[in-house]
Amino acid sequence: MLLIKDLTFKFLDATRPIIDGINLKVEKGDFILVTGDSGSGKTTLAQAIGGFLFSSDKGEICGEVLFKDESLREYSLADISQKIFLVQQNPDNQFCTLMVQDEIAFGLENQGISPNEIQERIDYALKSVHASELLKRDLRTLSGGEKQKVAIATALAMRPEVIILDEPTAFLDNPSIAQLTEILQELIKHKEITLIVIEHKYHEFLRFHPKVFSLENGNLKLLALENLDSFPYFKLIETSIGLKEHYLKKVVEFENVNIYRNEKRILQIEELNVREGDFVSLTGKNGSGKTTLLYGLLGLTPINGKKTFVLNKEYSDSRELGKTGQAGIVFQNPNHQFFTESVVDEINYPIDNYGRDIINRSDWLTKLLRKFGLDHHKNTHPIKLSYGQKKRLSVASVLSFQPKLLLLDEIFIGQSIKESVFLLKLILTYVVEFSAAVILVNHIPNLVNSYVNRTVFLEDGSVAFDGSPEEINSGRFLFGYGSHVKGENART
Amino acid sequence: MLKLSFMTLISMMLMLNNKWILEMTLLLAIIFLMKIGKVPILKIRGMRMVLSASLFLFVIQIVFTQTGKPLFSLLKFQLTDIGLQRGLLISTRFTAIIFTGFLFVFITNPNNLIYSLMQVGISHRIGFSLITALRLITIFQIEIEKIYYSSLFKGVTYEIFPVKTFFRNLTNFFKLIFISIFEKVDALVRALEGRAFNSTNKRTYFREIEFTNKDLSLLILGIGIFIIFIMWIYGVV
Repeated sequence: MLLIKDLTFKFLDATRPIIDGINLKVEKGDFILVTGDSGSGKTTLAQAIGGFLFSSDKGEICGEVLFKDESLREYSLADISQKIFLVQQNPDNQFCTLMVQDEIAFGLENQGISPNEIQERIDYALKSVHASELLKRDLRTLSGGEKQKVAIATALAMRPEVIILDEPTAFLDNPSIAQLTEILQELIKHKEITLIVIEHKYHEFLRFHPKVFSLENGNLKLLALENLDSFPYFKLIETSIGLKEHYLKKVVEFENVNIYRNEKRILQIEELNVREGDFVSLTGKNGSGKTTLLYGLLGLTPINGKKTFVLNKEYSDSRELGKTGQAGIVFQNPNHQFFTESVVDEINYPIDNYGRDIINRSDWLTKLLRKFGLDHHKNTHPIKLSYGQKKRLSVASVLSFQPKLLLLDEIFIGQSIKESVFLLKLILTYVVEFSAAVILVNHIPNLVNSYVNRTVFLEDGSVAFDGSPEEINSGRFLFGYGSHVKGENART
Repeated sequence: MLKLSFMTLISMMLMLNNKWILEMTLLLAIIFLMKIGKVPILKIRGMRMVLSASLFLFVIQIVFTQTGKPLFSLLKFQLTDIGLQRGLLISTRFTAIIFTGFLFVFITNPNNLIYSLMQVGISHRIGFSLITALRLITIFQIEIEKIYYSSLFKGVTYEIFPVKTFFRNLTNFFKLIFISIFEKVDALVRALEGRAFNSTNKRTYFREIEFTNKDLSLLILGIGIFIIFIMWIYGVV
């Protein structure tokens, strides 16, 4: 059905091709999984198969993608979309309208399909993803899981023969991933649709016996299914729980606190203390208020109740706390966080802004760059780094000024397990070395729990669980994460 | 569409009329409609500014209009009947026009409005430009917020002095916003192309915004009131 022949793509400003002579044959009903490190070219490959690069001015493309023996070069993108449909990583980037119904109808209307048939296709698509109740909803009010369902429904409505999903689990919590795998299972079952899934967390899909490829150095390498583990559970890292017990100083203290966003109370917290040396995994379903809690901790959103920020001092607002350099935050998208023209300037930027007197500054920065694998890119423009390097730089540039409280918001999105582990180890080292407090928002508790000493789980606008990761792993507190928190067996 | 027509008619009535009492009556009618439409009048962002501007216009008119019968005088200031009437007319007209806009915005689903405009012939290119703009506004608000917070917690203060640092910080901030905009627009273009947007002239519309008999009756009633109003203010009836 799909034949990829010697496919090569090189970005205009790159020195070597990101995908380099790829050959792949895909039969009808196949389920292909492509994994690989961030920046290895998976999304570029997805865009090439989806036909987006043949008319792109971003680089040079060689080779062919043949669909039923005809080159995609011969088709317009509008024609290709009826055969091959690419669901982008972030559904928000894909939506063109405001309502679910309009969104699914949009592509069909563009093709001039009659309203009656559009109605039939909308019903079929939403039913296929178990989301018929979303029909009249505003897209802006949907949770991450619901958005992903709508994005897939949009693809199904177009009735393509090949659907490419680019990291469909990236923005999803564990219950939503479970629902997504069920949907994909049904699509695969009848072998009517050919699925190509680009995914770091491919372990969730192994039970469907896909063909798994790893994209390395621009080439696809077939991985033997029997050699792939289910999820790579890690043995508990001794240093994480051995953080010399708790240090006594509280970095943050919340008591009977309400946190608001847009004049609406999102969280009600009876008690939450974070001390020096705490490495906290903050988790919960999409929309449970994790980011709001981070904003509350930094005074970025209205909050009332007894609160003490950063070492017994109460700050009137975020500007005041921001000026102290006691707290740092890293967001998911690294491109939003680079303010200078080179890696070394980026690392120096907050230190200079704060006028911070770092002891042995030069040694500290050299060590930081080396640890984060950026020492060979000191003078590179941050935008020119690979995605994984950008992520590392975004964390390193905040660690550079040695904040006491470090907040990390979903920094593992788009990162492979290997890269996530690399960052986790570096953060853990920072916690131990500087007695800092770190709160890490994430959706991969089964990985993160091996490194943290505390897990906080948010549900229904409050803290549903605050304790050690062992308690969560023992199965006492599953909170909808039951199928993914596998319990003690996972550690054997 | 009906709401858009009504907004146009009300605005024309406000602009064509020169009697402050009628202007005031129209303003009260608009406030009444806002109440029915559950518009949170006092909570609207910028309401204080609107009312302050209205008061300012009133004061300007009564201070600078010295023609007419004096009603009150203090030192060199003289309040005249024409000045008072002009003050009431201008400030009420200003408030009423702004309130009409608020009323329209709060009770109209922009999506429905744009779809109905496309239904009556506005090009789908223009229509979907508006819809995607509405989508992107929310996304950009979140992105800009994150860029700002990120800079704040890297020690950027955005204080005006020293000016050189202020401009450097501002340039960095806007640079990131532009990068973010380009990223989003790039993804959106891909989404539009991948959904065959603008690929054929035979575009169909799944959603039909119905123009019911009730809408027609209301429109006729509205036009009727408008005609009578115009005839009345020009002394025809």
